[in-house]
Amino acid sequence: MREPDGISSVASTSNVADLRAADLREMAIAGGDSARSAFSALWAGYYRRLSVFASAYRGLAEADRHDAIADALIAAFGALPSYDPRRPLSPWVYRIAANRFSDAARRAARVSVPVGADSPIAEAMDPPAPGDHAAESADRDLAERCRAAIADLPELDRRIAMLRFYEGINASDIGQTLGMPAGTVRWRISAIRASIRAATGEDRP
Amino acid sequence: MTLDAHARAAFDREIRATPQPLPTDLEIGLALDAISTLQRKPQPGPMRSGARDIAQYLAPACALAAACLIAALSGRPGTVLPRPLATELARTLPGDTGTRFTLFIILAGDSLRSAGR
Repeated sequence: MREPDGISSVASTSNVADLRAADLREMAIAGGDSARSAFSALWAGYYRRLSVFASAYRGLAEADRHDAIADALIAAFGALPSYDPRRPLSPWVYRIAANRFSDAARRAARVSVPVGADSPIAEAMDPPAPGDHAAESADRDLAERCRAAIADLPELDRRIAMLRFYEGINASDIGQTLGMPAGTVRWRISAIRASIRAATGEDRP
Repeated sequence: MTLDAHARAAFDREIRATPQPLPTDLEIGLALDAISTLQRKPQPGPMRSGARDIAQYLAPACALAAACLIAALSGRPGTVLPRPLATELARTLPGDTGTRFTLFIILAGDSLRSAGR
């Protein structure tokens, strides 16, 4: 998986593994069938990721989540001509999405169900398969505790955790995406690691 | 695996478990047309400012109406784009006109669908 272009980091969840961000921009500008392909690629590459990211906005009710994601993807596609292809795509897309999700959450002005035992991340856990080797069982157990620890994070930390651990975005770009200083992001990442470490008993960084 | 790798795997698993609705070709075409309309800047011309203002809002309003009509008349579960698109377009209309129009159309669509028409 290649990180900088963003799109390709979801090779397993889309059919656009080899599409580069610069190509995406050119296709969007070209219009016609190329633009259609670019829109489909952006949608396929980011819909699920933004869905998980949106779940960290508790003011954004689950019923409104799809509209907010589609809204963000439409806005991102519309802004693609102004995107600088020398920069990684993911922080740029997440920045647009973060603004849209915050706006939508403010508009909804509702309190959603807290992320906890019923969250998708908890539901996505697989029970340990019988007959696994001891090491695999330990690894699986650690993975489950890790997922539970992430699900229990405060919503802002969960956003940071996804951008850092899943997307591999640096602290400076996370800060720009979420509207906070890079130093604060670094400090939060350390705190998130400590929190997960405490919950899992895992010492390795 | 390291702690960071476990965290990444946790998100990866959640993402894979998330359903992904796909817009139809029609919806994508509609979205691209609307995005193109929104990006078109008003051209300077001989029109007086009042007429220019009306023209500036007319194109997005037409696109908005098209998006809303599709959202209203299509009860298909696969319809994934028109409502967000209408919301986006509604932002281009002055004041709260767009929002009120969108809400009206959505409610009308719900009403039609619930009546089985």
